[in-house]
Amino acid sequence: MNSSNTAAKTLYEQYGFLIYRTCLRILCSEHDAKDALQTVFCKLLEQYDSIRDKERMVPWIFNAAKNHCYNVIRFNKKFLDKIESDEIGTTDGADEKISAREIIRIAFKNTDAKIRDAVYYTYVEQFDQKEIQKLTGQSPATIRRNLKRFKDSLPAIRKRLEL
Amino acid sequence: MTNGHVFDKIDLMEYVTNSCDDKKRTAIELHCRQCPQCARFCREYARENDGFLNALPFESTIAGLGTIQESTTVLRFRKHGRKPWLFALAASLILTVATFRVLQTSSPVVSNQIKGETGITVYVQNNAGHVEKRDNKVFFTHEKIQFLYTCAGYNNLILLGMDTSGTVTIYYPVMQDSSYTAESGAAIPLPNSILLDDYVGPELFLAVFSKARLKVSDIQNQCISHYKQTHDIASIKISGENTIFCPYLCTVHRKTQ
Repeated sequence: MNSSNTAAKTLYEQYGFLIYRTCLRILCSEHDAKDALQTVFCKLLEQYDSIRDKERMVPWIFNAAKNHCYNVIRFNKKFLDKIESDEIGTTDGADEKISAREIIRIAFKNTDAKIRDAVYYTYVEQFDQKEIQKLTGQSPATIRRNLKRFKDSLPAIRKRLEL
Repeated sequence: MTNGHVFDKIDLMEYVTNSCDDKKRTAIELHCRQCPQCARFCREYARENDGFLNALPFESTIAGLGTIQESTTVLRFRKHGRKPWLFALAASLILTVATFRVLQTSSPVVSNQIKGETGITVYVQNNAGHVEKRDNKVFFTHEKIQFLYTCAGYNNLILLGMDTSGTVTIYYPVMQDSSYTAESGAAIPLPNSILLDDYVGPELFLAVFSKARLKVSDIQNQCISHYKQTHDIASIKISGENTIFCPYLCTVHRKTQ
């Protein structure tokens, strides 16, 4: 193994799992997550030298993995068909009753990326607002507003999805 | 975990991924000695990380991509992101697709790229910036080509290129080891266009559609072994159950001044 491969392997051991875990949570498929891991990791290798603040790698990974997975979903309508109807919860109390897949599905119908991020990090990753602020730069007030917008848009989205 | 805790999950993730500085590392280690919740988070993460590295080790997950990566970067073609001209092309495509649909209902499609409802069509942006469909399959260096695919059911796609030196370039999927999942529909542009470089000569583009996921290395190896036997890119065939392969053989000439 040459030196660049060794460096790549070290990075993989550091961040591979975080990338994979994030992709798996969004794509809900081990196979798709593995594909996404390869793409995001290659992106990491390409951009690693240009990432100035190496202590901000975790937010970078979250962002890169999340954006890539959103693109995958965008090009993969099949994703929507994978959702099983028995996982669908009720409209009220979105935080407790809706499964992660369902949240992603509904959140993805929201065109506003900030709302998507707030929803994803809150309900799927279960981060608190301070943590989300670290990752997205959204203030707690903005996060709360975006979550409220998400909840307000639920009935319309669910109607659109015929749930 | 953050209520009453000095460190939040992001901090702990930075710690377990070895991304934080020594000062923070020491502080987190001290904190974890007194905080079973944070200690458990770190332990769990480390355990899952080990499981991940056993299941998907670097050698089989990433290192194997080297050859593909190399071929996609060294190759005479360069992949480009979505370009403004693609949107102009999209507009012109609306007309083309409409015409295509009308033709489909009135007469059978006569094209060696379209088999049944599966296949590829190619548009090119010439050096003057105009988008056209080149029926004679002659292209010029530095022109941009845009592939459109049509498929229904055969949604796993690999698009590759092969030249007379036997070099195979994988265009789709991008740096992944299994096929690109294509959306069903007619005349859908692939996300990226391809910029022809200085290579002059015959070039085979090959789109392989399948009902099942395809391994890039399998298709690549089939092409290479076929070429080693025949030394003729025009005769390359891909075999496989529920697989349709659509060759597009073109010639690249030097750009005229």
